[in-house]
Amino acid sequence: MSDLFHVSSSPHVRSKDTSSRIMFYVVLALMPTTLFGVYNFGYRALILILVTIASCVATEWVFEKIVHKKSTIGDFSAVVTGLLLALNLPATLPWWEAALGGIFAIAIVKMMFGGLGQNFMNPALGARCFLLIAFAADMTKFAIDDYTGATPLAAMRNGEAVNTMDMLIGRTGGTIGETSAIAILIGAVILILLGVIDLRIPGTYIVTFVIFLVIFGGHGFDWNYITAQLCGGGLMLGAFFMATDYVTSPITPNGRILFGICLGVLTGLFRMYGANAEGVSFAIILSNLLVPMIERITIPRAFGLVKEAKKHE
Amino acid sequence: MLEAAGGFKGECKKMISGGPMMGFAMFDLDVPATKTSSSLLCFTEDEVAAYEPTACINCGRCVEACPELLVPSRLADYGERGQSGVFEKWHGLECVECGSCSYVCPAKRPLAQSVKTMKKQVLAAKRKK
Repeated sequence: MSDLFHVSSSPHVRSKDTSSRIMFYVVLALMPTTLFGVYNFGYRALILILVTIASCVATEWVFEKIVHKKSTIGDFSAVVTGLLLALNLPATLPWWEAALGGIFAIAIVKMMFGGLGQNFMNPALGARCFLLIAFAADMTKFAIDDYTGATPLAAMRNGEAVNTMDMLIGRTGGTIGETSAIAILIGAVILILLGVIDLRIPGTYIVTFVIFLVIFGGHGFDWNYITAQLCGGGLMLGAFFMATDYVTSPITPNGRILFGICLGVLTGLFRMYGANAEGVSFAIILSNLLVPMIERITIPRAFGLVKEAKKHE
Repeated sequence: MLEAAGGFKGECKKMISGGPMMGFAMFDLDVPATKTSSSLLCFTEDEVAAYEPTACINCGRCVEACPELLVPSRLADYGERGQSGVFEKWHGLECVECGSCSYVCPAKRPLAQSVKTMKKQVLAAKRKK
């Protein structure tokens, strides 16, 4: 008898997509936003980005060393977290606060709950909100070209006029990654073409938000106002890159639609009636917490059971 | 039969009776061909063995791939933990073992394998009753 062949359970072929490849795609898709952020806010933005990525990856490595787990930094998810966190910070933030944010994101929000796939909340957003509460002054100081001013959203809240064209391109104050709607949309198109995300979450999110604005915004169907709200703040970045995070969004297709609707309504509520002009981070975090319930009610009906249900009718 | 097809091309590491998705891996060349083996595949490398399963990232690709509209990642979890009750409650027995979930899984989890194993255990337990 010759040497035994390898045996394993079927299927005997696998798709080329791996977790790390998907994470790499996300980093790739975030590049236009990152480059624009660095161009817009200068070298300080670049330093912040490098600091958060380094602190995220290092924290994951150290944590896994301490608890004697196999290191998972090779899956790039910590890089994605670090990059997303940096894009959610103002460029003038002191670097050590950014590093603290990275440590918080990985150690507290992600690894404490079991690492990749087990965290119930988006680590980058969790850290952003932690920083927002801990260092409120630094986190809300937005400057561009050394001119400190209110973000377009805050200005709008005070009833001032804003230039929507500037907001579309991104020459406004804000966090590193949120200002340019165009750069984010380029990244979003990359993600959709690569099959990493679909439009279920961002699509329903944005549509719901627009409907909410038209009804409760107090401006009716004012095209200028709606564009400004869509391009302002973290909405674009949140809708395409944060809300679509696999781990913290529902696993079921219908659940994702429901998730998008929740996000749209919550963001509208926070922006209209909340204490801040911003609402995206809190809306996403709150919706993250609703995910188990959303999944519960949107489990797809198994194929054979559709027939059974029809029989009963 | 292999000789009729021109023999091995390179060293065979794995032989499969049937298709790449649902076929059975054979131990050696002495396993006889039966009526149900539609084809014989010889792989020069074992693609599956090269992958190590990592943690589920909840991407939902298995849910979209499943022709029976199940949630393979959860069923595989129940299977690996031996929770036959919830496995049946979420219709694990409806699985047709097509292997699509394992194929698409970016974390390279052996989803179909876990579900199939649990299915066999549940069915065996039922037969005993």
